[in-house]
Amino acid sequence: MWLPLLGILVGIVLGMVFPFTVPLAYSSYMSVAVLAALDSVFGGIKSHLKNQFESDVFLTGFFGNAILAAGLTYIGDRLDVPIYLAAIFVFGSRLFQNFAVIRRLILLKFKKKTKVIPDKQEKIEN
Amino acid sequence: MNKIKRMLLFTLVCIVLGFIIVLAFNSDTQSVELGGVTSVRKIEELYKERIDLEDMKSEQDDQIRQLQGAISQFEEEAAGRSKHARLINEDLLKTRAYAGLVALEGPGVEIVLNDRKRDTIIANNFNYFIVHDSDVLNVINELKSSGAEAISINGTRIMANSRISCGGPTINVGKYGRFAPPFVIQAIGDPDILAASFEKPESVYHDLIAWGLEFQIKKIEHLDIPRYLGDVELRFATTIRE
Repeated sequence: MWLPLLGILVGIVLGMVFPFTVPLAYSSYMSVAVLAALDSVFGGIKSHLKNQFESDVFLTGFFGNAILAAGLTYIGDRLDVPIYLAAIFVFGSRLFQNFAVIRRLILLKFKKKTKVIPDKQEKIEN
Repeated sequence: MNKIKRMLLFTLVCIVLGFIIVLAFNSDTQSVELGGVTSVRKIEELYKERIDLEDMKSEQDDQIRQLQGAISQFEEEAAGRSKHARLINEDLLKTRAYAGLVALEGPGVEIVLNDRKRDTIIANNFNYFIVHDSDVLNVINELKSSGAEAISINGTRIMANSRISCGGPTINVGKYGRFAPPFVIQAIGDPDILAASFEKPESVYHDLIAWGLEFQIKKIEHLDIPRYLGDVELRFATTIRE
């Protein structure tokens, strides 16, 4: 449970130590990359809570999405058309959807722990 | 086993996430307003090119100074040989100083010219409230008329043939200079006389103040005015032997 949080900290420290700043021209790549990573994490948490987690889906999703988004951004850069907005839009909306599902699942778990009335549980499940 | 693997995967992706977030925060994302479809990368490339060219220019300026130093060394050497040569060398130095090919120091004044402050600009008529090339030219003229011996604008020495002309939002000074306000004009001369000339009723000072432009003048004990850097070739004129 605490390992992923530790991972974020390790990543932050690594990023601070890393002696390289991203030039302004690649800021659109950065936004897409941040969103791709966030999307994977939220998607992972969701499937974890749903007990549908599959590591190969998780990993390929992370890298595949990132590569596709970066490719779109690159094409958009060449064409002077902000195509990366499409990736941002998809990732962003999915982020919110996943977050909504996660929120519900966690609330459900919480309620399961506190309330012991069995037939009410059934109702909330739907 | 499966759960540990899962956690490790999460951790891996979280490391990447943290890394990318820090990079995104550290990137040079100043807010820039860009018109049209000029991509940021193109602008950055051009900007880099500009910086390179500026570096190159300052390198070459250094080279000019070095070579100039070598020349003056040779001249001094030659001057040391005879009295006649020494007199010629002194003459040469004086002529150079007058022409603007030697850095000079001395007392004088510093004038800062700037546009009227934005909050006081009356709509649409901003043209009346900015410093024009003619204003700078008038100030320079008044300095010259009251005996300024060396003048520079924003660190560019004014030569006898230096132009001061309109360059759109900037003002062209000399052959290479292109400046935006504020304009810092330094002049070596008698500080009192130079400053007093702007108190004359017909001085351009009153016009500038009437338009609300900024005009600050300071008497300065010790001014350094740089030499002119650039070519001074005469292509068409030849000297006449008298």
